[in-house]
Amino acid sequence: MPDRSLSTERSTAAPLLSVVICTYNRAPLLAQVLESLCEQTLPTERFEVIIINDGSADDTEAVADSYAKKLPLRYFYQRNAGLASAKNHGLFASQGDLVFFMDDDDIASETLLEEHVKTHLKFPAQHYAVLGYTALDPEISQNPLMYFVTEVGCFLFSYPSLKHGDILDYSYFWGGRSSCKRSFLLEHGVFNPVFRFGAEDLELGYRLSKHGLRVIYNKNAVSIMVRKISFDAFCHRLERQGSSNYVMSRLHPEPEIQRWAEIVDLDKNWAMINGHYDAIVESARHLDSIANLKLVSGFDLDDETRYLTYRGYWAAFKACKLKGIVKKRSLHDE
Amino acid sequence: MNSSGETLRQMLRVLIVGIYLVDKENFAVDISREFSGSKDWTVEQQWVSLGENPPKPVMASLTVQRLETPVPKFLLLNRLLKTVNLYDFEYIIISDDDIVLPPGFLDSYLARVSHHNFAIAQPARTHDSYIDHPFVEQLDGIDARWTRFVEIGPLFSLHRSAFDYILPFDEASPMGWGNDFVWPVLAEKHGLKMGIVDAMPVAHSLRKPVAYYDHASSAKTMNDYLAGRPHLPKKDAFFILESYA
Repeated sequence: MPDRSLSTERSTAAPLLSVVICTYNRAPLLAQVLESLCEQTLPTERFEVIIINDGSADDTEAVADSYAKKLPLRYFYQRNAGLASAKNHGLFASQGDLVFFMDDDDIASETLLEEHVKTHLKFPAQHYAVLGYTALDPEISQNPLMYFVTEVGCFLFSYPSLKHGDILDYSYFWGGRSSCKRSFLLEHGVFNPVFRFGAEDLELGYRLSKHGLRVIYNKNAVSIMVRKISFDAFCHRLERQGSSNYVMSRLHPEPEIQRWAEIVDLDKNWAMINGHYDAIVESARHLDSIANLKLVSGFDLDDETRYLTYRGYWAAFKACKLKGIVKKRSLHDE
Repeated sequence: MNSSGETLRQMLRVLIVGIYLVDKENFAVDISREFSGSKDWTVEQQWVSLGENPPKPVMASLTVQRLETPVPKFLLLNRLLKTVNLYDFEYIIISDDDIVLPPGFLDSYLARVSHHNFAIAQPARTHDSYIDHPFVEQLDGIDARWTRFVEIGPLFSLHRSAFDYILPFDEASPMGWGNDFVWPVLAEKHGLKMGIVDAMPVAHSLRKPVAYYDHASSAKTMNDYLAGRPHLPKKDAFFILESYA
């Protein structure tokens, strides 16, 4: 029997890609992101851009408006509700066969969208997602903290261990740089709105893994992070990440999630840090200042300074994440 | 709205058609009480009890039929609606008995439904509800959305502009399975908007739907039903055309 549905089925050779950008008070960065999408090698009739303004109080709408004639763009506003809700909003507003969740502080290389689509065409089965590579903008790549969190401690990304073409598990379904088949999410699960920041991607990935999710790494699908994160902002970020880790651990009691969320040995680890938390963070802040001062003054970072700074970062970021977990647990217990 | 508008709204009528399982735990009393508390609408309620026990006294006056043996929901609805002059009403709301409505539900819900001209609509489901399709779960941060999907239950509304095209319900699917993928085709053909109201989510957590039906069998029934008529596939149905915050 012929398919009598109204589906406007596109050729699998030319799927439509929806680029979902959830944004909150980053209008100037959003303008850069959209500008980069105007330069794509993927023809504009092969993609659309969905902007979800998550309650911004800045010029986000005006920026979106200014690109409405240059890009196939649809704009949606919601009161601030967090990343997971915003992503679901974007997912449901998308018309594409493929959906790419892109961060609002990453600039697309010219071939970014084309590379995502190419990998999906090579792996057309529903359960294959694609992870692209996010590089640091040269302006920030020498920053000791940014270098540390991406290349050494891998608190932000952990690309160093990946090879192009790797087929990875759910733990690489990283928000902001992954794409997947829209139908796969509609059928098997969407983001859990309890997550306002952090872990929403992993949590969904974990549920999707029960339906076979695999993630293909394409190092040629390049986006470039342009926003430098300060030491204190990164500490705050990790505290929020820790909080989300705890929520994730409550949703999924399986041992692998308890390990991932760093719940295993939490009390023992926190007991070692608790009395020294302020000193650990202050010490790392101080080392960060020294390292940056040296660079600003035109000096290279000597090995000893670099080593000490990285040790400081490591201890402080671990402590911040544990603090976030412990704080969330106490709130939950109250 | 000015005072004359208020007066006009007071004159509009809404029909609630509900079915409740009298032998099982249900929220029909609370639901009907919530509906009857409307300040903006003249509400008429017609409930059908399914089961052997008599209705609770508070439901007795609202219960227009008592059936001891099960009848498929949409056959029952058709039977009941046949006895009603539909165009006496601005909206018809079909309700199950296992939901919890937020306070002030009817006025807030219909205010949004009418503001956005949703001819076929439903409230979103709360996050803690049993949810078959994540698409209908409440989207935080918005009040409503124009969609291509409205689910056949546990509660949906029809504006009078949709009556000619949606009623009577297609009895080829007596339990309603699959209707929700056919309705958008009919709605779009006749220029009707469909939508979900996120600002007034209902909790659907009393009974797990699959526990009461054979899921595989219902899926087959639905697929057979859909194979014979124009419909939207999920990927096209689960789509937001516009959202409103």
